Amino acid sequence: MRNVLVTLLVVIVILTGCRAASPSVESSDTTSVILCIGDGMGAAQVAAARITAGGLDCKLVMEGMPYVGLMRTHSADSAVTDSAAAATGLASGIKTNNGMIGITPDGKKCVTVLEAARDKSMATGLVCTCGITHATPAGFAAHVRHRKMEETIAEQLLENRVNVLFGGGRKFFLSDCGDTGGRKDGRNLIDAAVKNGYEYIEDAQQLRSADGRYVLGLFECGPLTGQPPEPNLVELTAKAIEILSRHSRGFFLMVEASQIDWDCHANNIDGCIEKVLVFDKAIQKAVDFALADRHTVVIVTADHETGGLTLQTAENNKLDVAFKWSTKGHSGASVPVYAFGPGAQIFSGVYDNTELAKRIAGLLGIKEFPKVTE
Amino acid sequence: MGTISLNVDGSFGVSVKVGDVVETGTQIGLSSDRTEPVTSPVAGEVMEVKFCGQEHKFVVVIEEKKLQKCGN
Repeated sequence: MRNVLVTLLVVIVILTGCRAASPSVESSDTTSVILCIGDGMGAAQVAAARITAGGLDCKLVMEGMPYVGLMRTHSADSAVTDSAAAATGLASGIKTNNGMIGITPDGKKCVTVLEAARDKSMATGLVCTCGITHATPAGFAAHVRHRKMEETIAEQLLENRVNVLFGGGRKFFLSDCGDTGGRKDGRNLIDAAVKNGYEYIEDAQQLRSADGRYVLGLFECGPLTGQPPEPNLVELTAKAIEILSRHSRGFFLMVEASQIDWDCHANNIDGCIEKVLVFDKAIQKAVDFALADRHTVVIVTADHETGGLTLQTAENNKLDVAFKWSTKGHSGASVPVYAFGPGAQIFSGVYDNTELAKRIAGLLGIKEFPKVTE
Repeated sequence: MGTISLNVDGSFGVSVKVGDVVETGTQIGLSSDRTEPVTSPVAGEVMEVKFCGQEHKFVVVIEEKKLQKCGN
């Protein structure tokens, strides 16, 4: 039955000229996980991108994945989460309060799935288009009382020996980063990272030639702009996979399309759609790798929805849509989960965001998870 | 008369839009630690609402104006 559905899906994709992942990987064990997070990307944002890119019957790469779930996103203290609490839930399987990163509401440290993977000698990576110290990447490898403690987060990301760190936010690693300022303590974390074995890179050319076991790529003082000489999210994702896949014991990689959220906060539908489509191209890189590797699961989801986006019938054309926003903040809507690869079926169903980390941990054979330490 | 800028946490949105007329005390949003409401310290018109992604906050610019009240 599944093969029939897959064939139908491929035919639809071919007929509409859209792209979709081939869901044909079968394997008994999962050794690597690529978790792709569209910040603020609800089902409506995906639909908006799909319709704009290829029409009503199109499917994005993420929508071509064979297993789909729906995830609740609330935090411990609010029906509407922020990215800090959401990342903590997604990374550690534990609910916390808005604003908190990697700790319980009473301040205890939550072990993340990235840290647990590292402790199993797996390689780890974080890729984003915001500052690497921003809430979502921080949620996977830092533990602080408030998301705004970005200087401390920068220290913790390096102390955690994450193999690949790609994003912006150089100003939180240096005492002086031009007009954007720098660290208040005057420390140069980049020099310290290089002394501790990291290869440091700053532009697309350096990215292409990077071959270290540990690579720190900080491509802007602030967030990424998406313009050369910066690499884009697609290049970053491909390179992160290339580096991490050299490790023999598998890897855990989180890739975030951070700025979908920002365009949704600004109620900028064109920017939102553009960011979702770039994200989809990055997902294609992950799927291409998983197809060849056959032991990697790719999971695509969001931390929350932003903007309360709805698609309504356009005034003058019943086959067209008009985009309407209901807020400039986050909403409490559930978000989709798409999954592909060996073990991907466990991401089907309706569940809480804390379940995602638990299911990833289960796939990777991580014991004692979730786990809280003092 | 001048303009003032207010910083409002991004996650929970902003309560005003460009062109809105606000009075002293009108709630604009929540503070960055979300413990306090941010209110307008002046009466005037909202001139700009801008989202700053890296700080995940809105900057709301209000031009101070004397508001004409009914019956005056």
